[in-house]
Amino acid sequence: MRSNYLGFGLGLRTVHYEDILATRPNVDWFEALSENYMVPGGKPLYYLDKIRADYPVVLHGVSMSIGSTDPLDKDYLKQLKALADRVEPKWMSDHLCWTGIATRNMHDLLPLPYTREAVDHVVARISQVQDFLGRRMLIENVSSYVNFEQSEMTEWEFLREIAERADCLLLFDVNNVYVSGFNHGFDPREYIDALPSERIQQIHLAGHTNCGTHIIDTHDAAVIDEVWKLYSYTIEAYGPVSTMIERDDHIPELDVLVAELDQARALGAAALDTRIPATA
Amino acid sequence: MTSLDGLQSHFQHYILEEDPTFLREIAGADDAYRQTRLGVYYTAYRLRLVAALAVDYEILQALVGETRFGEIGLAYVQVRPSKFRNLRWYGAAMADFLREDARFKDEPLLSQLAEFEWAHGLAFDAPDAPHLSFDELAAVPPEDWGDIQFIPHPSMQMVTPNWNVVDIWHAHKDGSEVPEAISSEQPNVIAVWRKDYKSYFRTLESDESLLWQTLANGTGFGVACAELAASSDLNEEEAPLRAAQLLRGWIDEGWIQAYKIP
Repeated sequence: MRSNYLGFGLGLRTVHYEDILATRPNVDWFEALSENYMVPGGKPLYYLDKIRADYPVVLHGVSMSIGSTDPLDKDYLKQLKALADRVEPKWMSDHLCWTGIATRNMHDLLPLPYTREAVDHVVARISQVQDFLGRRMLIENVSSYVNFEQSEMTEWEFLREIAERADCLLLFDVNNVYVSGFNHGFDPREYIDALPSERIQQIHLAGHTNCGTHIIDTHDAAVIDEVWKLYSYTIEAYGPVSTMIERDDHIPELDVLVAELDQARALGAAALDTRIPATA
Repeated sequence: MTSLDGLQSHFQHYILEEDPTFLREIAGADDAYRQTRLGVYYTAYRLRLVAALAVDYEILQALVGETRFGEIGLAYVQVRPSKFRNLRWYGAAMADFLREDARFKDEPLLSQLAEFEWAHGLAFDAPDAPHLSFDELAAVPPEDWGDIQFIPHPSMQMVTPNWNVVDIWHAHKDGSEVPEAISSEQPNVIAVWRKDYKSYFRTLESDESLLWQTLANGTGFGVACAELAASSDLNEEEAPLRAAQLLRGWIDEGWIQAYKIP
């Protein structure tokens, strides 16, 4: 068992606050979106504090823009650190992407070119952030819809080299690998096989929108069978990893997501049985 | 400029302006393929920002309908590229935009409703702070009452529409019949605030608005009472009694964080 294993969690969403406090669902931990709580006060922080009192919480950001060529935003990092001091999360994550330059924000997880230059750039910035926050970050692979002419390596080579050189941890999004594999025509299993297992600290599962010629990572639907199969493969490859369902749109009742999470528990357990055959 | 700088600059320019020169930096069989794939980012940028605006301006969207709200949202996105890390603040300039933009400035109801809705948002997640209690106030020595100053609760917002935004807001919230949009000569002064994690709002009476503005600026209670007497029908004896009555109401409603005696 890797240290810091939390079990099976859900993304914390506003519409579920009251239900969580009233019903104490069978969820081992929650992932809070950092930016939702980087506000002066009021209900968001009130509920986060209440839920944090009963459940482990991890923080997940969308705006660090670790790959941007703009300087790191010190105000953002200070606010994030203040939030971490308040919440005492088990860990903190953001994406291997950039969100804008020249002080603009595209509010999207934009892909990087897989080049030596980008590796050097991102490694230096992750190190700066880890030094500032005083903890190791988890970096998440994003879904992408384009490949750049200037790329010099595969996405998994790029991610692996960054993780090892920055000595950071990884948040592995199974759905994103499925989406990008479909969009760019690679085998997600090759991606999974290539990552450093010991650095995988968390897994995301989510749904998406299939447009026929390409898939868009919308997080607005249930996890599909192909992604579940890939999840089983992931657990067989990496062993037990804290896993959660991430739903950002068309958010159903809490019990629907808890049932989907139970599916992850069952598949995770079965995959571990496959990985380590029970001894007689 | 490094190749990473260049790529990010061109990519962002594509998202904002759909500059076709960026297509050559994308791997793919042909330009149609490249446009489809880049189009995901181009479209997502606009959809995401308009969706964030629809959360902040729910009643404005209900009033004008989804189609027109989409037009307003896209016009705002075009004029105001996001400079915020956090989408929470992206819609901050909507009331100003609607007030100033030639396409919307002839309909002041739109900007005034936007201002009212934004005030709700500001009250919702304003900094946490205590509310002054009657017991605390009772401990103030009588000789200090002339100088005492009051600090508004940080969630307090004031808006001053002269269109019937409150009636229209209520009708959409309740699902009742939406009244005709009408304006008055004098603006209404409306307070929006939060207490015990709930948001409230109400219209102020004219003398109440006068006294609040004076006290919220840091004026001492004695001078504020004198100004109230000078600016209203109340005489110098009536004004302090009325001020004390209003003050009790404000404390009860949670408008005041604390007092200080300079």
